[in-house]
Order: sequence, then C-alpha cells, then structure tokens
Amino acid sequence: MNWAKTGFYVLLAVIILAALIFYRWIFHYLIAAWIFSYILEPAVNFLEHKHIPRWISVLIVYLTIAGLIAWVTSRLIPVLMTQANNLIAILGNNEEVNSDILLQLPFLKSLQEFVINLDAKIPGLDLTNQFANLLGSIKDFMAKLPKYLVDNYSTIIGAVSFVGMIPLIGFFLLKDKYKIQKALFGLSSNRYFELTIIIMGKINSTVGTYLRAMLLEVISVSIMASSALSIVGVSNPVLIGITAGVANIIPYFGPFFGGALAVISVLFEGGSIMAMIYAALAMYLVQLVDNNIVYPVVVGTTINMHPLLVLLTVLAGGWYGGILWMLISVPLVFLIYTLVNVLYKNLKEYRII
Amino acid sequence: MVFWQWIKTLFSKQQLYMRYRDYALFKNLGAFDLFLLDERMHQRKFKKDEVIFETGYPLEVIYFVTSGEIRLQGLYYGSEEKIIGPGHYLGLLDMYHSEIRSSTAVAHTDVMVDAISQADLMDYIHARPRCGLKILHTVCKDFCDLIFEEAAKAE
Repeated sequence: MNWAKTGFYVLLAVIILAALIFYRWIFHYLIAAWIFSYILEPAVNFLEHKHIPRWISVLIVYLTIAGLIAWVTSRLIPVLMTQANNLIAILGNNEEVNSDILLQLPFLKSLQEFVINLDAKIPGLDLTNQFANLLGSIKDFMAKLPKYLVDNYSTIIGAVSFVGMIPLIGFFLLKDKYKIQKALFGLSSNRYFELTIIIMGKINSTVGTYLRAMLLEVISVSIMASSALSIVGVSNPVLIGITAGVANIIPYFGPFFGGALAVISVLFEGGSIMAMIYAALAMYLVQLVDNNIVYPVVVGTTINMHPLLVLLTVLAGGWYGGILWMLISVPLVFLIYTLVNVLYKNLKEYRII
Repeated sequence: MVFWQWIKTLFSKQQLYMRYRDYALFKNLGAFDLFLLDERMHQRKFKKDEVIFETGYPLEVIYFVTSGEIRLQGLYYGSEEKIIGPGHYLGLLDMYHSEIRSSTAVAHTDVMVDAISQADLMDYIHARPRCGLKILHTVCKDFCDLIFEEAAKAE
C-alpha cells in the first residue's frame, strides 16, 4: 500500500470537506448566478464571435439588459410612485394607522368595492367582514413595519446583496466559462474524461436550452395573453397576462390556471356571461398559438411526464416551498430525471457499471 | 509601458493558438478562429499502454495527436495494427458513420493529445460557417484519400 498516496488523498478529502463547510452559505448564490449566466450565454457568444473580447461582450449584454429593465420600469414608475407615496405617508405618520388611510390605496379600494359587490350578489358569503379583518391585520403590520425593518435589517441587507451578487458572480462565470470548464475537465482522470465531457455537454444543452426556452415562452405568453385580454376588454390585462405567462411553466395545469384567472377576474367585476366566454376564448387562443407555434419552435420537445406525476410534483413543491417551488418543481424533476438517465446510459456504455 | 506589455501579451497568446495549424484540419484557419477553437480544446496526456478508448464506447470526443504515437486496432485495420503519430486525428471519420467507436486506441508511447467534443466542434462550425467550410474541405480530402487508398489495395 502506498501510504504517501493514501495520505495525500485523505488530506485532499479533508480540505474539500472543509471547503464545502466554509462555502456552504454561498451555494445558492452560485446556483442562481449559474442559471443567470446560462440565460445570457448565447448573447455573449454571439458578440464574441463578432471579434469582441469576451469580457466586453459580457459588459455590453449587461448594459443592454440594464437599459431594458430601466426602460420597462420607467413606464411603471408613475403608478408605483403614487402607491409608494401613500405608503410613505402612512409610515411617516406616528399616529395609529387606520383603515380609512389604507382604503385610499387604489388597489385596496377597488378590492373593497368588489367584495361588497360580491356579497350583494351571493347571499351568505359575508366577505365584507373578512375583508375588514384583513384590513385590521394589514393595519397592525403597517404599524409594526418600521420596527420590523430595523429588527430584520440583516435579512434585508442579505436579500439586497443576494440580488446584487448574482450579476457579479454571473459576470465571472460568463467571462471565464471556458477556463472554468477546462479546469473541471482537467480534474477528471483519463478513464472518466469522455464521460465527464458527455455529462457536462448534456447539462449544458438540457439546462441551458430549457431555461432560455422557458424564459422566452413566459415572455411570449405574457405578451400574447395581455394583448388578447385587453382586446376582449378584461381589466388588469397586463397583470393577468404576466401571471398566466409565469404559470405556464407548469405543464398541463399552468395554462388552465391562466384561463381560470382571466374568467374569475371577469366574474368578480360583475361581467356578463359573454364577457367570461370571450375571456376564456382569448386565453384558449393564446394557448393554441403557444402549443402549436411558440412551444415547438422555442422549446422543441415537451416535458414528457405523466399528468398525474406533474400534479403530484406540483403539490409536493407547494408543500415544500410555496409558490416558487410549485413553479420550479416540475422542470427541476424533469432535468434531474434527464441527467440521471444520461449518466446511467453512459456509465453502462463505458462499462463502468 | 503597461499598454505595451498588454499588446505583447496579446501577440504571445496568439502564438499559442498557432500550434493548431499543425493539424491538417485547422491549417487554413485564421488566428481569431484558432483562438475560439482553443477555448473548446482540452489537452490530455496518456502514458504508454494506457487505453484512450475502446471499440463500442460512445463516440463523443475527437482527438488530435500532439506528440507520441497511438496504436489502433479495429474494423478498418482487420487483424493488423496501425500506428499513428503527431498531426493525425481520431474519431472524426467514425462520427459520420456511427455513434459508437469502431476501433480501440492505445498509447504506443507517452502521448499528448488535444481533445474536442463532437458537440463543441459542431457548435463551432455552426457559429463560424466559413471555418466549417474549410474543415469540411479537409475532411472530404481525407475521405477521398482513404477511398483511393482502399481501391489501390483492392487492385
């Protein structure tokens, strides 16, 4: 037995373990930055192929996205400012917050009107009292908010740093993509070199393509749904359209959720049966275009999972981590299944197992 | 001074990529094309008698011999063995035939190779069609040489 060699490997294992423990807090940063870099990679590659150095390509892509975000948010800022001013007025006032001030907020005011309208239409529902209780809870929360902000400043700073760090880490992942890849492949022995290349290639193609495709699909469905709903006269079409676009990530049930949201919105506003049918038809048309044109072109292959498995996965995701996990659980399970499948197939073919 | 150093680094780096011109497949590519190719290439070392790949393995990586010699056994060579040296490549012809290796490659001496995955090479060709045309031209030439070589043997 070669004691020196064994000793070295033990030392290496200890160092790796220590590093894992030391860096465990930043794994979620790395994963988020990794996803971020996957989405931006084609744009960076495109610019690099135009003889622009890679780091400048990354900067150009970053600046373009920052410009786009600034442009989009600038269109929403007037509305947001009104509501933010109301909030600041409430927070800046040391007097006890009362429900009347809250009801000056346009959203809550329209919600109250809607609840009263619904109670009038459906006897015995008694949503008005429940809404009043909800306002009471909001009032309590508002009163405690400044103290909450001070008490949880570290959490808030953590969240801000998380959002700020992702583009920064993503910058280096994008700039040094090939160097990182070479370093990773360099770690593998000759026996596993080809296998590592296949696995990494599959991860690149599956995860990268899927993430970019999903992002494009969310954007296209959001735009189509918003346009279709505004054409048929549903109010808040952008909000419902974006929600439908995001919900579309969940196969089978996501599109249904988007359609149901549009119809329920018309129902809550006291719209006619015809208005509800128009809203449903508009969402159906969006799904028709999405399923037959956008999805086959953008995503290419569907997530081939049984509807029951999708339902169970969405439920499990919801129990595990709320709405966010409901959205990501199905793609995550699909990606893990694909990777395990590739790993098993290739380990067999390379006669390793 | 710093700027001059930076310019010098750029040119010295270019020299690193120029070595790919030793391979027939890339001899007509420009410096920038070779730089992009270098991003996707991986250098590997194999010791004497170490197996590089075996018949039946999935075909994913194409190897270019930088130094040393490689022993080949398999479908094309019958019961004989073929020794190849620097400048030769492995796996490219198989790529047009099947998804698995048709031969076994063993390091005849200590060997150094450049390796590129099939997917990366295809991506590179898709992104740079002009380079793809040059590469395809060399592949066609090699195919022709192989056909005429076989025809001559048959006669």
